[in-house]
Amino acid sequence: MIPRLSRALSLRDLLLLALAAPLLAGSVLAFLPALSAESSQQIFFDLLDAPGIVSSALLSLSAALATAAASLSIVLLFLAATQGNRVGRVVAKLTAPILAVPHAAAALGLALLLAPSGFLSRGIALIAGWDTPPDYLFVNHPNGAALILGLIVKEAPFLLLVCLAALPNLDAPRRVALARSLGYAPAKAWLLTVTPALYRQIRLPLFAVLVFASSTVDVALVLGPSLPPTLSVRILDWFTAPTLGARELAAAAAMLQLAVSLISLAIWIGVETLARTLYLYAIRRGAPQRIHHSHYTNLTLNGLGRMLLPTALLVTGGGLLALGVASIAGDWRYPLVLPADWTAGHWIAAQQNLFVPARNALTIALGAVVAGMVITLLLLESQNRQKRHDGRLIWLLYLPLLIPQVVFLSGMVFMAEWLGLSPSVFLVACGHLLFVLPYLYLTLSGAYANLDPRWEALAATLGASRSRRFWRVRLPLLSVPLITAAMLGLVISLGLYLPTQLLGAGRVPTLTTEAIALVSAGSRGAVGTWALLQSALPTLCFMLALLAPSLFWKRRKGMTRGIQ
Amino acid sequence: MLSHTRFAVLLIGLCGLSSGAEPNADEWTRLTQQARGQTVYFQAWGGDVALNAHLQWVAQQVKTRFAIDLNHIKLADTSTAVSRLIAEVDAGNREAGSADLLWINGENFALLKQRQLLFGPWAEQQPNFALVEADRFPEMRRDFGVPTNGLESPWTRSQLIFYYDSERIASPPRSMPALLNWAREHPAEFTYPRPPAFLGTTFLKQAFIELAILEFGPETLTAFAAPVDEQFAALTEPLWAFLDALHPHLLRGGRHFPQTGAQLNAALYDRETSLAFAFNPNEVVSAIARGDLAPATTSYVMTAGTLSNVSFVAIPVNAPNKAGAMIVANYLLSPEAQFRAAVNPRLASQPVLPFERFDAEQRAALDAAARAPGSLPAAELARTLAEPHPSWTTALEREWVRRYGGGGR
Repeated sequence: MIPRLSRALSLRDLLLLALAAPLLAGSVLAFLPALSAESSQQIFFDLLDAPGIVSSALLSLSAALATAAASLSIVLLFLAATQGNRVGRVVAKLTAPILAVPHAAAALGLALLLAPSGFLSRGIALIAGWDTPPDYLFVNHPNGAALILGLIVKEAPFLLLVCLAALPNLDAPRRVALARSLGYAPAKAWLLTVTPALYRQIRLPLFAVLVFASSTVDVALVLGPSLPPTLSVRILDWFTAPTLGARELAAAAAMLQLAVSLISLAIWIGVETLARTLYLYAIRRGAPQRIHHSHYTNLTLNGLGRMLLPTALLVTGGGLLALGVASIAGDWRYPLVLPADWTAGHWIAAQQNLFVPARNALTIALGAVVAGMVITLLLLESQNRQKRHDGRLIWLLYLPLLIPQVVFLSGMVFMAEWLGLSPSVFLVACGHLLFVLPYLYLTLSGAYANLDPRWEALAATLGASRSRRFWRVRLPLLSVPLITAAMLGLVISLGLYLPTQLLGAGRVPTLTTEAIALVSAGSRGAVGTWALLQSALPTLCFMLALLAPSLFWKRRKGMTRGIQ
Repeated sequence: MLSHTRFAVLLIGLCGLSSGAEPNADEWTRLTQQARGQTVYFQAWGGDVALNAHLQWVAQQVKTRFAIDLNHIKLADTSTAVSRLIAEVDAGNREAGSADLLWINGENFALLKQRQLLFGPWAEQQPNFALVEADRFPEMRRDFGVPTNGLESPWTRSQLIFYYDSERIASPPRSMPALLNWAREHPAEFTYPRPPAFLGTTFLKQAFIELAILEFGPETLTAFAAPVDEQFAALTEPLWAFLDALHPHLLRGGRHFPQTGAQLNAALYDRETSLAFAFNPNEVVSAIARGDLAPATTSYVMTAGTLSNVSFVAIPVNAPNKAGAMIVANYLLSPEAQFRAAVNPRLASQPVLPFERFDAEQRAALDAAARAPGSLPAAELARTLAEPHPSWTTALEREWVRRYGGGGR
């Protein structure tokens, strides 16, 4: 019995189980108040009775599907239209720092840009001669359009980087060349031949986008509607409401949230099947006969591809600019396009308050990334040595991306409380580790598997031991993906709000928690300042990731392929 | 382990303190010694930069005077701390809680008091409590009508005031029916935060009380001091009729409500609205000083009076550093701290100490501050309405969410 068990569960599997345990236990504990209540059936009736609960759930569902579909289309069109040309490379370089901007800061910037008293409206006011802002509802509209836009401008850059990481292994130029020889125009050729292979590689990150969009809290707080808010915001409201029965309601709503996220995945998978059929149909039909028709399709595809993604980047960039102006604006009353006078007051005030949150944010992020890196390399190296594939249990590692944060965090807080773990930087860092790990693994596993085994074989013939080969050959050859992964991990950790706030009980302030606390009540200037401060560290990390290869391998040109 | 021994020592000290009702100088000295080196986590709403800065100044003071490390935990919403405390004690954490001092009020206080999650009584044993003259000012012992029983210590005063852009409005509406008529003539120039956000609920209560008095006479006020009863539906009838009529004329047609007072100020500043309100009589003075409101903003109080109350701090039953928390609460009550918060134009807090408690120099400075643009004459502020019993608040919030929270009219 025992030898069979040990074969069934390797040390690796145990590690994966140990990592997933707090998450699964957290989810179960989060549901517990609803299930253990005296009449748990009644709780679900109460939930269904909550005003607008169906709208909330549908809003979360539609935000998820719309965000994922739009982001994916934007990225595929962009890649098809540019196909690694100079424009494509420049835009891709600009994407990296935008990706580093935390969701909350990007959302705040977007609001500052598009609200009735925002930058855009002030620009129109200058021409149209408005004195007062128009009364239109876009930001916070019940249809969730602003929420979806706020998600797309962050998720499209994320998907782009994921695609760019996967593309080098797909030999896209040859696929396109083949299709073009059959008479397809370039963009269409790319879409027909590269997309299917690429899609298989980015499916998991896409699922993560779906789940995130269906359950985001910070973006929904800033851009989402209020009558009623998204399901995730309502869960948090109930979870933190001190009134009797609210916790039970929050628990029941958390189950609904999990269902909504899973339904969004199920619908997506359904649509995948449909898309596959359409693809096959399009391919069987062959290249269009009439040249001018194909010409127009190609123009449209190229135009959209070149416009949409840069527009998304521009929106975020414009939002950051608006935040920057707000942070140093003195008198900036509507309809002034630019402030009448400027002040450094908000920055001076912030600077007195900066040290502890910045130190906490860095300590937590570095701790989580270093620990996560060790675990990731352990997992990858063990499967490398055993010549095994990812293994059956690897999906456990991705759970934090597939279960919404609002669902399991409340249960994890209860568990920490019950175990007597008081809120601390350490506890928060442990929580962050769970969120950082999947990204580290996702970024590194491809590079790890694709490293030409002949390098190590060569080292072995020269008499290098296993560990020497790992330290002196494998790690240096992987230095660029390692740095990229570490920076991505730092960015993820620096942007996390909910885990920091809940596990830290508010006692572990970071730049992100401070920024969001001010959003609730701060003036435009303070919000602008803190949103920029919140973005500064992650952006710095990304800049380093971009520069690192050329700094690290100053004299080895062949090694400098970093983030594309 | 250290925290356990420390807690035991602390308890011995505290038992002595809570036995007598009168402050005892010796015991307070002992408590001050015990508090040395403690780290006090003060959980308080953190949405006001000026208030955050003031608490940082308080932290410096208690550090140099009493060797206490005061950490202000900035809350986006006080209910977070309250539900956290409930969860902690539910999970068996009875001595190592995450908060030492809480800024709470009204329904939160009523809830924690009822669930016996507050430490005390301790507030009236503070040397500085005598300065507030609670016998002369009974509101220092009542939080939304609920007796504080020494479980919380006052630290600032608040009152609901309205203010308007005097470049756009000549004479503002001074009653709720007038507000409705005004809103019909000036569509999309007014809004209020979405209950149960604190300020939104305050507006709801103000409208409710005013309209109920108009409809049913001033004697209904006595009903509001008692817990909510079966009269709720009848008494709130005028309120819902008022809101049904008002909402289409609000900013964004009543399809989106802001969350906070800062958003009301921003909308007024940017000429989206021309009328706003805050639960701080000096809001306009401080917001003009901060640059959040235009200088041509004028404040006023409704003819029928406006809601007013006192803000309190309390100590959770599982606070690890109770001695330190009490020293901090006592310092918040000191004329020095009260004066500093009142005279700072960006904060302009209302002191809980009577004017005579300040020295001549401080009184002169406070007089000068009271003449700042945007401030209200004392006579207007004297028109106050008492907060209804906290159970009314909960019932009103619930009914508002039921009627309007799901969207769609």
